[in-house]
Amino acid sequence: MIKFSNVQLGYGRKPVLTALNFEIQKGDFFGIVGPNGAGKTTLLKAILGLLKPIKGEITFLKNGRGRKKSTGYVPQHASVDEIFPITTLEMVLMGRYAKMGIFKRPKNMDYAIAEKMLKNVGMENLAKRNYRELSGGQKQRTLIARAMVGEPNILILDEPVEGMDIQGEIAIMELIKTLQTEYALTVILVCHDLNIIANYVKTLSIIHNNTLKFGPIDSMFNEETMTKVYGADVKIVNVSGQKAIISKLNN
Amino acid sequence: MSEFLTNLEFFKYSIACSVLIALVCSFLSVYIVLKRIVFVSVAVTQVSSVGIAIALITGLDPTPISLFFTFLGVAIFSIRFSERRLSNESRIGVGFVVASAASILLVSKSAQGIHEIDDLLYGNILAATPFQIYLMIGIITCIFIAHFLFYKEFTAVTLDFEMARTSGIRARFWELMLYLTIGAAISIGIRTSGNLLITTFLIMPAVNGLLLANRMKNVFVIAVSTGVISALTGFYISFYFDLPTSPCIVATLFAILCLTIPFRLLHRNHPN
Repeated sequence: MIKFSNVQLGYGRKPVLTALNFEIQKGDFFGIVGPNGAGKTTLLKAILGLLKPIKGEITFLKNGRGRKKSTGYVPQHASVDEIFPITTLEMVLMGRYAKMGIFKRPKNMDYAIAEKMLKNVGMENLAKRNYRELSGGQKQRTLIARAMVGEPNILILDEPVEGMDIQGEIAIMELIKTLQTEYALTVILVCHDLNIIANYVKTLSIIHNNTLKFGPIDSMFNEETMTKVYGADVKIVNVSGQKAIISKLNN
Repeated sequence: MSEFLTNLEFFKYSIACSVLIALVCSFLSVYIVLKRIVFVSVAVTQVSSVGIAIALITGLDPTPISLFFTFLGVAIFSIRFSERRLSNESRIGVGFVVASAASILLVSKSAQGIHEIDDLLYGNILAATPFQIYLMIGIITCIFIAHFLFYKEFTAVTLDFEMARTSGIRARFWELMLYLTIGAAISIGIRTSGNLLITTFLIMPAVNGLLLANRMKNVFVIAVSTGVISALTGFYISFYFDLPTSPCIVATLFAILCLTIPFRLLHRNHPN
């Protein structure tokens, strides 16, 4: 669905990521991890089409015919300006603006789609509430709904559980999983919380030493790789069928 | 009041000019404050003054020259550079101080000197001509039509530029269009209303609107009403006390803002 062929990414002439050769398959749940400053945001920007490669080619494929992809982007909720005086419903409706076309105003159908999506993310009772009055988790749900009303086939999320408690993290991740199944989405997720990512993604990609290694979660999420990437001695344990990573203290 | 009404015929173009500038700038102030580009608008206004200064010393028509300089300022300040070495804010700051110095230097050697610097800062609203009013009406109508037709695009790039881009909206183009409407409003008002009044109208009405309202539509209504009421009241105070017009309008806007703040605090403590 998205193919990176010998891609080099960076700002100006300075490369941040090199020799990127990978393909994200349709229906995948693709997680991107890496230490701070490794280039996760750079890679995400390239997938979103916000950053052109210095070298190489990024191809968006659909059914092998090269049709343009349709992406829904969920930024970190803290990046959306709270001074904007709009309701939750209006925020979601903005996700349909590009679909409506120029000169057109939102129609009943657009409102119906936005309301349905708010219901799908469990926010139907807060449709008329001001966006800025919502909690962090509610804002994240609203932004997911905003990305979904554009009827995307790829959902891209940047740190969707940032700043949330454990209950909130699980609720958001379960919502993403449900939406993926219900709408047959390809999900691409950047997340620094390894315990979250290890239990949800199918494919794990790790940014290390300016490049990216990827593979099925079971083969990538191991003590040797994680110790090498994060430079800390870690242990991976299995608790009731769930993977968890803990760092070993020096003493 | 009766004396003011008697002289209304004499002031009709000046009043129309202040109301028109208040109307358009107060409306646009909502985008400026929400997009957090107050400093861009101040810098563009200053660049526009350079155009007026050139017109003053060359004797050319100030409107096209100011328009050219304003659009030049818009083009320069709307470009987003990487902030790895320098913030965009500092780049705009440099533009602002250079434009301020350039406009003062340009008029300092002219025959009228200090009076022209005064004109740049405070404008000369009493010298508004019928032609200027008709030109303003034409340009303001175009600005409002553009904002009516492209409300979606302008709000999307104001709220979340990256979301707009990734969802398929030509964000850079619409952002430039938004800036051009702001630039056009600055150009038509700068000669008559001056730097101070234009900058004020591009900031304070929206601040008032955002303090009082929780919906975009209401913010626009409050901002525009505040701007127009301040223009009329300030004009009357200026006439009554024989004071300069622009500072009187600014003072009225500030007085309204001072009345708004306690109301906002009261409402916050007792939202119901």
